[in-house]
Amino acid sequence: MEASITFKAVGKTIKNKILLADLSFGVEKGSTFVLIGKNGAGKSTILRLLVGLIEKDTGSVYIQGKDISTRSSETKSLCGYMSQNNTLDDELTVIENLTIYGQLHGLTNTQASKNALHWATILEFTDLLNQYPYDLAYGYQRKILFARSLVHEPEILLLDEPTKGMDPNSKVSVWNVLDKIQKNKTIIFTTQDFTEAERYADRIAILHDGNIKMDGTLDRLIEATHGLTRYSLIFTESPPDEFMNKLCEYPRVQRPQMKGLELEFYSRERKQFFNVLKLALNYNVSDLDTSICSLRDLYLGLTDGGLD
Amino acid sequence: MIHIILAIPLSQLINLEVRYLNWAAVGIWIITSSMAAFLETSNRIRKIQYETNQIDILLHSPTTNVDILLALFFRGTIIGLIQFIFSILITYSLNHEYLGMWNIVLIVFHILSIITFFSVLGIILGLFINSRILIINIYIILFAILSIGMGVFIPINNYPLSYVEFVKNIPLFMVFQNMQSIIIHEDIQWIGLFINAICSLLLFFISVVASNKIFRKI
Repeated sequence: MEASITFKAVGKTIKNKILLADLSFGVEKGSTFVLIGKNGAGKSTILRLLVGLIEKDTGSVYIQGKDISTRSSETKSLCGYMSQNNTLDDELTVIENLTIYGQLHGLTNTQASKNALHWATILEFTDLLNQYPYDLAYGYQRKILFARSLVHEPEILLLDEPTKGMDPNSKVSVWNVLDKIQKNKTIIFTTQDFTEAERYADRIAILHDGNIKMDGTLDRLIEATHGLTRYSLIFTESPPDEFMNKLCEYPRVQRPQMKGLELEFYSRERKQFFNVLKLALNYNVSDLDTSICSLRDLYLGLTDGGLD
Repeated sequence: MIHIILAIPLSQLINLEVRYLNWAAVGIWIITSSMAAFLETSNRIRKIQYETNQIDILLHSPTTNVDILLALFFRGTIIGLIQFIFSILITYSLNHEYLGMWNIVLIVFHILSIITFFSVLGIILGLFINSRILIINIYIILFAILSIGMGVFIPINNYPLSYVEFVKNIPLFMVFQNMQSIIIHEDIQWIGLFINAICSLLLFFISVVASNKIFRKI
């Protein structure tokens, strides 16, 4: 498959803090690529670097085969970017914000106005077009930012936590739009919402300390856990420390943790679960739950440690 | 205002071979137009960079830093020129001075050189300084230096010789002197204009280099 975006050994450090560490990956044309990771893991840095808001220290980045350092004007016009914070101009009305952005990306005033109106209609904010951004609720500002990233009909969409702070209805309208356009566009988005990532991503990358810990399709990521299962036992009263100490002695029980009255742990062997259950039955167990390792579990395991 | 507050009182104190108010009109043109250009570019770039989110939008569009700075530069220059036209119209009607076509062409040429210098100076200071108060203070200091220290309202031969020797080496001063020479139909020195243009270019180049780091906050 043709690569739309390629990172080759990209490094970025600001004030002795490593934001990206020798990062290499590629995103196929027409696919949806999701970046998940802790705050400060480097997700936004990747997007900001792609649109030229920051510059890399080392390595190369290509958008549709064009080096972003030497052909930045061409690569920037291919990208629509939605930042995590509000970058709408408070001195311009919503429609002016959208049309000027389109014009900056090479559209005529008529084309830009037409496209702005088109996205405002689809995203249901036509009644806000003549208002100023500072008058609007955060969720609406996010929606407008999303429309702005689409106004010049970019081939690549870079969305930094696009549905953050939106109400459920707005989230649905954003995802409806993305569902419709995702076949024709390459989309990279960052999120902290695992349901969103599982639902929409063709490929997911788990980012940690400026590098990709693991990436692939959701199935491949889950497969990589080799049948790791999440178990939880719920107690009516907190078990003594002695119980937890004993649990730590079980070699194949991974990441045992008490969360209030719930004990959570991971294991690949059902027998281990039975052993723990047998032990726990001495301490007022009221309920139990098992589930296949999810993206959330994998993410927590990789970023917080504790899972093999 | 400058005509009323500065030029008229000083005309009672200073005697020149030519009519003082006609001679001081040059100072009014220089100060009003250069300060207008300086304020426009310094405030505009501060607004883009520090007060609004405009810089982020500009940076992720295909616009280059040079495009942004050139747009600011031209805007400042145009504002300065408009201010100059108002100033020349007012002083022309008040002082009934006679300026031939060639004199006007030369004056426009010189004032453009001054306006461009102050436009670029505004850009470079606005890039580095995000405090509005500090910019206003710099504006007041520049205003004071230009009005009092550069011989545009008080003839330079009234100052100590060492100071005169120092000021004579400043390209901007040479341009001011040229404008006063044009008014009294004397010969001008082109070298000042040339050096001033080089200084403006150099400052613009520095601002382009600096903008790369400052715009991207790295």
